[in-house]
Amino acid sequence: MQSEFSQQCEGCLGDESRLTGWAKSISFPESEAEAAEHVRFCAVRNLPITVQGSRTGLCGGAVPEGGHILNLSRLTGPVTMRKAGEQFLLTVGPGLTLAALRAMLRARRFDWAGGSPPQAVPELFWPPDPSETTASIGGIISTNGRGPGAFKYGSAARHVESLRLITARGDIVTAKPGGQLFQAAVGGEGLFGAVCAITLTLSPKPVEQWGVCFFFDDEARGAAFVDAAKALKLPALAALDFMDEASLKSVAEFKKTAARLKELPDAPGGAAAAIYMEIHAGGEAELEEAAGHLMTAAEKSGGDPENSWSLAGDEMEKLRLFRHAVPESINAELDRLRLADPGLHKCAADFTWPRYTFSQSVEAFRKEIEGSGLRGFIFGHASGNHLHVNLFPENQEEQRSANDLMAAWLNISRQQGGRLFREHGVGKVKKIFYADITEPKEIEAAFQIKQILDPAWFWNPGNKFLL
Amino acid sequence: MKIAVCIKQVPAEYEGVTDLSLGHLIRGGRGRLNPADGPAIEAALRLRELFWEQGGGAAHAFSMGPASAGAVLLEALSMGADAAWLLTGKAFAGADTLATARALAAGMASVDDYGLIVCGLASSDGDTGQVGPALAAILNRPFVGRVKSFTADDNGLILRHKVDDRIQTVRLCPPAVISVTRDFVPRIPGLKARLSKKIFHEIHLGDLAERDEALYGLTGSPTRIKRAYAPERPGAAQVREMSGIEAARAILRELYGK
Repeated sequence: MQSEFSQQCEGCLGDESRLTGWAKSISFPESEAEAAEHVRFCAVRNLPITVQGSRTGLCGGAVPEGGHILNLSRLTGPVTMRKAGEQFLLTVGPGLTLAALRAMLRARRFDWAGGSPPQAVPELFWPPDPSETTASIGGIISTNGRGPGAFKYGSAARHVESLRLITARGDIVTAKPGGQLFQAAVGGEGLFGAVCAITLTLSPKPVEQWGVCFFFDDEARGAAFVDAAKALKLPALAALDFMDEASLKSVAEFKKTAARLKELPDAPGGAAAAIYMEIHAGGEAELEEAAGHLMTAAEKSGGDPENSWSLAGDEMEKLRLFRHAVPESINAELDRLRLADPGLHKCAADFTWPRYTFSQSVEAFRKEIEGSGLRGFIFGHASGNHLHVNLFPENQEEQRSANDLMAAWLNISRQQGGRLFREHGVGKVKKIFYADITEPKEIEAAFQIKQILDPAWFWNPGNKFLL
Repeated sequence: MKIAVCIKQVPAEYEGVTDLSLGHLIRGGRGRLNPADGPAIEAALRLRELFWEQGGGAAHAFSMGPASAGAVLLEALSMGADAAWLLTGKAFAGADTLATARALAAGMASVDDYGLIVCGLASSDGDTGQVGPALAAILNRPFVGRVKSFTADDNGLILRHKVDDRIQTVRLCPPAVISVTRDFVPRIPGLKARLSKKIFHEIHLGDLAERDEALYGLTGSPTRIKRAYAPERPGAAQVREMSGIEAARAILRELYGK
């Protein structure tokens, strides 16, 4: 175990939130036992622990505020597959990335518990798809990640059979769905222990998969199409995401320097909105029927299916890259702005407005962004109107305006009974909002759970709660 | 002018797809369009558009392989190709680049007279880049490789192509064969095109003017594999985390030993 924090590890002081912290020491355990030993080492020295995976989080949950960093990026295994009844269960380490998991499943590169595999194993996949493929499975579990595919598959919690968690005493306990510990740990942002192994519930890969992107020359028409597509209630519709004109322009600019986007053509000129969809079907007939319905709905909403994009199977990855390029390009732009003013932070929405239609949500965001004079990007998931609106303050005064606007929007979410912090977590970036907007009794309940499971406040100091 | 584009289905994954004892690809796994052939289709479609004003044109796609390889032809049709043909049958199986080029040349001749034949740079499985030049040699046509862009005037095509580390501009008067680089970013088919019913035609040995089996497939292939082996993989990549200055110094030490 590395006892002193080395300058060589300074990258581990930050994450995608662009916050930077400080730490006394760091370690990179490669096994559960080693991780538990490191936890015990810190516990006896009263050294609080910040748990890290791939550090792709947007809210600073993995940014340390002193103490020790338990970096789990090398704890990727052991990877074991087993069949329980009709279910295929894959146990992995928390540091395994989503990209590595997918490659492993494609190549069937894992050991079978008990030796040989059963007969007739279908092609399998793990449905949660937060579009950042370098995210670690442990991080996805800790934020209960969702991504575009949540439209069909829901959040990560639905696809986990069990977890193993290291407690503050260095013990390893198992948590199962339905239990309090599981409920606390999944989406718990590492506040109750370090996830050291996850058993994933895999699903048979859909026989047919298409990615489709429709472009609209008017934002309201694009939003109306989303409402129409949701109303179709197509079981095969797996993802339904929205991108506004500012997002498309940001990607176009980013594409000039991002090598992995070179094989994407330019989006049609004059597009004011794009709708990204994935169709996952059990066969060709279901796929074509769903695609046909979507095409008709797009035409009725003023879209032009001739001027759309559609890719099948592995080629769909190009469209996923396009969709993921929206937050990437916005963050790249933020980095440029921060060179001039390192104090600037974007404000990113992660709440749902369940009582509005999608069109009403987009219209409300657009009106308020234009009224504020701030630069804003509207993109995200149609499921629950879960848009990741990003506000871009360019000076400190605008930063205050952006914070006020975000707080007002969170209040609407609360009034509508929406989820305030859906998949990015609260971390350090949003804890002021968490304290101001969340119902006091809800904060109190979360506080009580923390007190019970981590009375010494050993795990992830500085996250979620304003103390 | 009519344009033909030659495309290939390659394995979607490469782990364990080669019979190391014979040096042959083991077919049957998931396939995909050869990555260099999307740009070839795009170039053929742009050429068709270029020549459209000069009296019309058509872009036809050709491939060779088992029936499942027709999937890449359907992709070409979705992108906008006017028609597609698959050379298929036991007579064509096991072909090297020369036998492949012979079969493609005979197959194209059985359909139409093509002014331009467009190929991708190379296939991701064989990676020889020989089929384009071999086609040109068989058809006795000029060949321009690694074309990055083109325009047209009354006297033919003006091509910019890569020669070693230089870009050369040449005038080309069809008929000819070209291979193109990935500068031709393939268009993504629209949903309407993907949903429309498409068919590709099959070409069998009996459809060719030259039906001598000895010219095609394994028997028509002079290439003999002496040894096939998986490339040695370097050791696991090292991940070192360090500050920017330290990283720059470490890279310099690795490169220059100082």
